[in-house]
Amino acid sequence: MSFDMTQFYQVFFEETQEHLTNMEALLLELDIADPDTEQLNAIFRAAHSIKGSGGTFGFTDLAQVTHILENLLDRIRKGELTLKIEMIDAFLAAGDVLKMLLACHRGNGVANMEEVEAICARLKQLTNDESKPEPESTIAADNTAHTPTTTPASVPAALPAGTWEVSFDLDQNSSDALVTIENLLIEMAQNCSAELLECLSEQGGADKSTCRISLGEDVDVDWVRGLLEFVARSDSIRFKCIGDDSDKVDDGAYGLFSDDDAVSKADTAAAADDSDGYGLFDDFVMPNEAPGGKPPAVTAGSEGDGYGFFVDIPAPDSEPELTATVKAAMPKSASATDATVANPDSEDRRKAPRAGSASTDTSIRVGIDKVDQLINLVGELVITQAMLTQSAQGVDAILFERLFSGLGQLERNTRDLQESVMSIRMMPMSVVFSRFPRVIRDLSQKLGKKVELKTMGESTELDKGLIERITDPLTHLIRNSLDHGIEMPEDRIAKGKQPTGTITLKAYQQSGNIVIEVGDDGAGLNRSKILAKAQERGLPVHDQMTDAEVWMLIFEAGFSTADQITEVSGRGVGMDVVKRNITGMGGRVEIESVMGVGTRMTVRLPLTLAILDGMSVAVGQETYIIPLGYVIESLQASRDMIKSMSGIERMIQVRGEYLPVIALYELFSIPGSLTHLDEGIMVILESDGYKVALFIDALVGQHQVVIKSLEANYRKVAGIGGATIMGDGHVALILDVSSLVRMARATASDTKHIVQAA
Amino acid sequence: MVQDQLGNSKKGGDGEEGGRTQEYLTFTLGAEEYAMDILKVQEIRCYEKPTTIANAPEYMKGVINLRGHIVPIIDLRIKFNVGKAEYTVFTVVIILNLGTRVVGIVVDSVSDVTMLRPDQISPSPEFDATVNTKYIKGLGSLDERMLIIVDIERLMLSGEMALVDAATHD
Repeated sequence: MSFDMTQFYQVFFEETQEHLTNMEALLLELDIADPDTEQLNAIFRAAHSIKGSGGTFGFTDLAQVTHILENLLDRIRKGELTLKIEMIDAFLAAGDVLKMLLACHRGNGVANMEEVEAICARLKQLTNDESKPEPESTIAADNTAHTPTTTPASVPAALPAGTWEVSFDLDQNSSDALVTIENLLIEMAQNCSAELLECLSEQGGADKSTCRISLGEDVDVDWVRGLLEFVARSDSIRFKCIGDDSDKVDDGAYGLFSDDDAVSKADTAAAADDSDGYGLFDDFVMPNEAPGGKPPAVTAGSEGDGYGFFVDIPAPDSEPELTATVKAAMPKSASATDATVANPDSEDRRKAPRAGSASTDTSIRVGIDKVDQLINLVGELVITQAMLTQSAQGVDAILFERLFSGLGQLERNTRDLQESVMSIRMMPMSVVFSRFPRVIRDLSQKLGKKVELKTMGESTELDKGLIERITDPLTHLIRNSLDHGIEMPEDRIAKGKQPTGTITLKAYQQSGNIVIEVGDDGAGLNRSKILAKAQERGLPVHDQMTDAEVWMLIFEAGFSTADQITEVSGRGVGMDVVKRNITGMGGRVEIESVMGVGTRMTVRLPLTLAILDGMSVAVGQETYIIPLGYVIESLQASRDMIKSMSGIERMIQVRGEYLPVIALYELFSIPGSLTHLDEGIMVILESDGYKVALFIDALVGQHQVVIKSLEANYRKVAGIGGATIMGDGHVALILDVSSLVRMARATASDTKHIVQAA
Repeated sequence: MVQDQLGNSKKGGDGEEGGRTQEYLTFTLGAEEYAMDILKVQEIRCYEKPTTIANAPEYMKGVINLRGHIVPIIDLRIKFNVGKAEYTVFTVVIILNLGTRVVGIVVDSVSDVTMLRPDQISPSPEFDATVNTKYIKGLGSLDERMLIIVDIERLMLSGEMALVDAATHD
C-alpha cells in the first residue's frame, strides 16, 4: 500500500513534541517515594504514543528508544520495580535524546548516535537491574511456578469488587487486535479506569480473539458498549458486574500483559504490590527472554507476532483464599485497576491532570496568521460598531427605539466576540513555567545547591508571541538566580537560613502589563563589588548612584561579578542579552535586592493586542488615553496645594504627600491648553511605587480601547505607549505612564533632555 | 477627483511600449516636477487632520487611521521648504506602501500617471534639486517636461525623515 506519509510528518512532530513536554512535566511532578499510579500511567501513555506514531511513520530510532523507555516504565507502573531517582534522571535524559532525534528528523542538527546508544544501555540496565525481584510472597511464587512457561505474559491477579468485567470477541484479525485494544483502553481511560484482563487468541483461528477488560465501577456501560461496537461483534459483548462475594476467582487470573512485544512481556510482572496487602501474585519472570534476547519490536507485524503468545491461563489453585482476604481488605472506593492503595489524596490528585489532558485533546491546530487576521478583522468591527453608536447619538432615542436596542445588542456581541478572539492567541504562563523545574533540577544538581521552585500565577495569560520570546530571557534570569543568588547549603546554614533555597516565579497582570517576577532568597547583589567591577571596566560610575542604578549595571554587556567562570555563568554574556530581548518586546526589567536577603528581578511586558481600559483626557485640542490601571485619583488643585521647590519646578501637596507635577502641555508642547495649575485637572498616577500628578485640561471619558502599534509604520515616541482609534475614527495616543513617571523622576532640567534624546 | 484624473491618464498612456516601460506617478513640489514608481503607491486620498505627535518634527503632521492602521503623514512641502503648506479641500495625501510600512505624504499637487521607457530616462547629474541627489534615480524627459525620478522608498526610510527608529538606521 503506497501511501504518502510525509504529509502527516508535521503533525507527528508537533504531537511528539507535546508528548515529550508532557512527559517531562509529569516526571518532574512525580513523587519518588510514593508515585501516583495515574501519573505513571500518563507518562507511559505519552511514551507509548510516541512509540506508536514513531513506528507508524517510520522513525524507527525514535520508536526504539521509546520502546526501551516504555519497558522500564511499564515495570515501574506495575510495581515490579521501585522508582528511584536514577530512573527519573534516565527518563529525563531519554527525553532529551528523543528531542534531539526529533529535531534532526525535522532537519535541525545531526543525531548523536552514541548518545542514543548510551541512553538505551542505561535504560536497559535499569530495567534489568531488578528484573529478579525477591519473592515477596512465597505462596504467590509457588503459584506462578506452576504456570506454564509458554504463557509468559499472563500474571494472575485479583479483581477488586464492584468493578465491571467486559468480554467480547474482536472483529478483526489478531495482528491488528492488539493495537485496537490499546487504543480502546486509552480511550476508555479518559473516562474511567480500564485495564485489559485477558486477551485470548483462539488457537489456530487468527481472525478471532476474545478479550476481557475490567472497568471501574463508575463506568457508563452504554458508553463502553458504544465504543466496543466499533471493534467487536455486538452480540459477543457481555458485561458482568463483579460483586463482593463473587466467585470470580478464575477471572482473577488475568493476563496483564505488556503492550506489544516479547521483551516487555517476558519481564512483565505482577500488577500488584505485595506490600500493599493485596497484590497477591508475584510474577514469575522469564529472565531468559529479557531485553537483548530479542531485538525490540516496533512494527505492527511483530506486535502481532508477540500477540500469539497469549493463550488461556489456568488459574492457580491456591488463589481463592487469598483473593478473598484481599477483597475484604480492599476499600470499595479504591480504583479497580490501581495496584497501589489509592489514598484519598492521590484520588484527588489524579482528577486534575485528567481534566488537563481532556482539554488538550480537543484542541485544533490553526496557523497563527489566520488567527491574526481574525483579530484584525474583529478590531475593525469594534471600531465600526463604535462609529455606528456615535452617529446614532444624533437621532431621537424614542423614535428609533429598535435601532438603539439593536445597537446595544451589537455592542455586546462585538465585545464578546472580541474577547473570545483575543483569547485565542493568549496562552497561560504555565507553558513557560513548566520548563523551569527541569532547569532548576539539572542546574542545582550540577552546582550542588538545594533549591525549591515556587510558582505562582501560572494561569496568567500572555500573548503567544510573547510567550515564545520570554522563555529564553526568563531561563537566563533563573539560572542567574540559581548560580549567583542562592548560596551553597552550608553557607546558608551558616547564615541562619534554611539549607534549601527558594526561587519564586510569579506572574500577574498589572493594568496593561504582564509582570513576571523571578525572586530568590539568596545572597543578594553586592553593591560595592558591582561598583568596583564597573570602575574596573571603565564604566561611568560614582558612589552616589542609587541602588537601582547600580543594579542595572549588571545588564551591561560583558559584566560579571562572578569570581570564577563556571559552566553555568560568569562570562558576563547573557544579562545584556536578557535586557535587550525584553526591551525588544517593549518590556522592562527592574531589580530589587537586599544584601543577604535576596534579589527580585521584575520583568514587565506589555500585554499586546489587549484591550486596555483607558481614561481619555483633553489637553488643548488633543485627546490622550491614560491606561486606567495607573490612575489613582483625579482632582482639581487649589492654589494653596501648589508648591515650588528648588530643583523640581512644581509640586502639589495631596493629603500630606508631595507629588511632582508633570504638565502634559509642556512636555508635549501642545498649544492652546490651560497653563495655570489650578485651572485644569490633576490626575494622580502611580507607577513602580512612585506617584506623580499629571496636569491636563479636562477629563473626557472612560473607554475600552484596542492598542495599535505606533511603531508598525512610525517609530517609538517618548512618553507614548501606542495609539488607538476612537469612536469617531480619529487616532488618539495612549500615554506611557511609566516612562512619564521616569521622566518626572529625572530632574526638571533633565526632563526636556530625555524627551529630546528619546 | 484625483482618482478620476489618474484613471483617465492611464487609459491615455501608451501601454504597448514593451516590458521595460514603467509607470510613474508624477507630482509637484514647488516648481519642480517629480515622478515616483507607481507600484509604491497604495492610494491617494483627501487630506484629513491627523493626530499630532508630541515633539515630532514640524513636517511630521501626525498619524491617521487608515482602515485600522495607524499611518504617519509627512508633509514634504514643509520638509523641503517649498510651496505653501496650507490645507484645503484639494490637498491630497499619497499613501505609499514601502514593503512593510505604510506612510502618507503631502505634496503640492499630484499630476498624472505617465509611462517612461528606459531610453527616456537619463542618469541624474549632480545638481541642486530640492531632494538630495542621493535619492534621485534619474531624470525623465517627457515632451517638454523634465521629471525628477525619485527613489521614494529610500527617501522615506532614510534617517533624514526620522520615520523609523534611529537604532535601526544610523
